[in-house]
Amino acid sequence: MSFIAQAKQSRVSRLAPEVDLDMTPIMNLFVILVPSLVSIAVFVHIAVISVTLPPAAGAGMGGPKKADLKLTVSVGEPGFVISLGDSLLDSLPKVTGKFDLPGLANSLARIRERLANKDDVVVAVDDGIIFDEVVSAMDAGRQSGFSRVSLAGGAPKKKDKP
Amino acid sequence: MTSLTSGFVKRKRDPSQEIVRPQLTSIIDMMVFLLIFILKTFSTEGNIITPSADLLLPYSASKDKASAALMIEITKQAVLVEGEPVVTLAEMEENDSLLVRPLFSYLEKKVRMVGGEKKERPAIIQCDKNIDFKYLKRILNTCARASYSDFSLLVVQKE
Repeated sequence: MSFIAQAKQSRVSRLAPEVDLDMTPIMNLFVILVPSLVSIAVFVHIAVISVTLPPAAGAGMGGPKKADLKLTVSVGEPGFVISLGDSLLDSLPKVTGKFDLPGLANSLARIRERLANKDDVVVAVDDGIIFDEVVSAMDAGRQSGFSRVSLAGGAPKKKDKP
Repeated sequence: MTSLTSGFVKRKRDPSQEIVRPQLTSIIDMMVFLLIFILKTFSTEGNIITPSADLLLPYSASKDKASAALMIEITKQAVLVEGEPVVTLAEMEENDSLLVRPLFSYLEKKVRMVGGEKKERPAIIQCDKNIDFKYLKRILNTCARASYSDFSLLVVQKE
């Protein structure tokens, strides 16, 4: 490039005005878009747990067959008790005043492997247990592979005699 | 003379009267981040059911979606069906029966109004997470006797 051309070029670049981008329309777009998206966004996702009630005691003829026996998790003040029919399989007492939920999930998964009925579990809850603990126990049942969780009432709370 | 030439004299600009353009770069950055975050958490499905403001739902790992059904709410004070108070927990305390009479009568009336021979009607139960299970047990039993035996418990999905 010749000296004259270089000089012209530098003169042109010196004279070119600085382009200042006008961001106002973009800002307007954001100001409208953000509140409208916030207003229709769903931050809390709601789900449901399907539950069934176990059939009434004595329903059907001759009692349940061994293959039909459902695993029962009793939720009581001392902790969890896992049983099948009349036989006690495991018991998980509370750990530092809290229910041992990971222990329950592990125990149920272990027991499920040797069961004939791998789908059903009954959660029998005593009076005095709060609903949050019941949902946690049902979650542990589902987590260990049982697809149908039934809810049943356990032992009623003893009333203090006057 | 002074008045004629004064028009041609170059006036000095008053720096206080210059147009001040604020720096919008940082605010635009913030808006872009906000927009990306909102779009990431955005769900097109939405919720069919709006949980009641009077109760705290428990958290669960369940991901099953709720469908429209009869809504029964158990708050710390009362039991509501479709938003209408039916029985208070204090009234339920008065007897030990598993059948809650006022609720049963209400549901029976509803079944008669709807009609049909359907055996298992769906019901969604919204229960406060701190409610004693003894109330829920009695309500489940009453609903089942009034042919609302296809239960779903409403929970908040864990992240």
